[in-house]
Amino acid sequence: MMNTIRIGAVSLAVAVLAACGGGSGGNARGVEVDGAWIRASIPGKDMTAGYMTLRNTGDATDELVGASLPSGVAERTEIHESVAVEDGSPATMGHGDHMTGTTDGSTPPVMEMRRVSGIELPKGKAVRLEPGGYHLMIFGVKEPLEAGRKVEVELRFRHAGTVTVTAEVRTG
Amino acid sequence: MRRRAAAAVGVVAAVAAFALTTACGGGGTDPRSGRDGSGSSTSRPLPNMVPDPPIVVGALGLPDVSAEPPADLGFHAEPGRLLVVYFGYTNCPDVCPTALADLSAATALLKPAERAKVQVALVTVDPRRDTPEVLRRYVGHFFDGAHALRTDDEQLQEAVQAAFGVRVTRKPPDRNGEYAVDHTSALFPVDAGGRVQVMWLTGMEPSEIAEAIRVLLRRVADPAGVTGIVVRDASLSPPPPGSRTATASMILHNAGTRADELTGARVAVGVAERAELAGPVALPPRADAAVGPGGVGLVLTGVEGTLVPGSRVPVRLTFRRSPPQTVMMPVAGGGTEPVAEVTG
Repeated sequence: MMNTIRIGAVSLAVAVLAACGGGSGGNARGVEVDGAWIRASIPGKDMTAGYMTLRNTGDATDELVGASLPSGVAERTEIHESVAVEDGSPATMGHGDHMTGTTDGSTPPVMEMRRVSGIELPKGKAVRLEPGGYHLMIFGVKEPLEAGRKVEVELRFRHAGTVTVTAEVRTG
Repeated sequence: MRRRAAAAVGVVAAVAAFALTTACGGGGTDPRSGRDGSGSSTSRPLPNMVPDPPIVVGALGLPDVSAEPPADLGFHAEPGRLLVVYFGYTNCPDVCPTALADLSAATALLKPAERAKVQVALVTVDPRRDTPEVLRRYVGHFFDGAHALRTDDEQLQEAVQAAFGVRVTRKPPDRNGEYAVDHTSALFPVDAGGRVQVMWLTGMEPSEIAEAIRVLLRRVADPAGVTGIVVRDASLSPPPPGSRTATASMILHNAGTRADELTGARVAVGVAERAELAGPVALPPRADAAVGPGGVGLVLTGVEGTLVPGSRVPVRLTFRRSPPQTVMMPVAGGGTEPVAEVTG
């Protein structure tokens, strides 16, 4: 199911936005979030991952800078990235292509998993958080998350502000 | 649910360039550019990757913590079958669950007769946090009857990882004490000869994995499709009092259709002065040959210090045809007899 939340533009930060030189009427910030899902808990583990597609409908670059789940559901959430690395150096095929990258030669890639402080959302573009790439890493899950359950996820964007989406728990 | 991995148009162009970027600064906390998620899936390369150098692991095994009673699982399958090995860890929230879920979905697509020929083993690259109990539960979530392989013996772990060509790097912990373990991510199907003929990159669709399994099963169904020397029941008896000679024993199985020969054995300096193989050992096709008491003798002379029962001694075996292999020989005695092996 698609969960689409649109955040309207104008905020009290208009003055700041105007100062950013976004052009006339350049204070529209919008992020749509589709297809948010969280991997169902694996027995014995209190961490899991969340995924979604972010679409920047605003007129300037934005950035996902944080995420959280309700405190009764999980302790904290970070933004992470899995990166396929070859021969010790990141191999990019496009911008940070993730697990699906082809590899030259006959050595499988090393998957590195690292925390990132944010995910840049270019204007008018969609960015996927998906297995093998960007993902939310959810720590300290209080109760096992079972498939079918819905969980509120709060997303914080540098310009679009806070967006709350409903994520579906799936076995993945 | 299926995961669609998009390949944006820009990606296709950039594949040709195949540029290496500089990594983010050490903490890896810079915001990264997002992809152009146009969503379309262009045709992707087949998931098969041929190992170079060859991956030959039939002399190795790991303790199987899902076995009752616990036993070593040797890295080889029964004739006509496959043992699919994945290296990962349970505190990995993205890559490992995805790879295992995809493999599980792939095996569900196989016909029962095909599925019966595929065993799965997960090797943990994080034995500190992945206790036997944790690992068992984790593996059991994805598969019925899969093997959970784990060892505290760092030397054995490194020997296995090296033989598979798997690189593992434990990263520094964050302020909460959590740490990531970077690791090679791929599926390694091992055949009856202890060989990984092709590797499957993770990130494939389950249907692609299933088809790759079918193709490989057809290949290994043909006796000529399998070669390799498998080592079973290796054991090293420590020197008796007053002696510095340790006696080795093992069974070598030639899984191929061509005769081979064990031509030599070497032991690392510092463990013993020399490994002495009494003579070449004929390895007829599809047959077992005993080395040690009852067959051609293999001893380690000039053993340094004490061989601790339960520890393992690497002995490098060379063959006339097959690539060399290192067997991690368990030291017998002290009430800790090496456990009997089960094959995958």
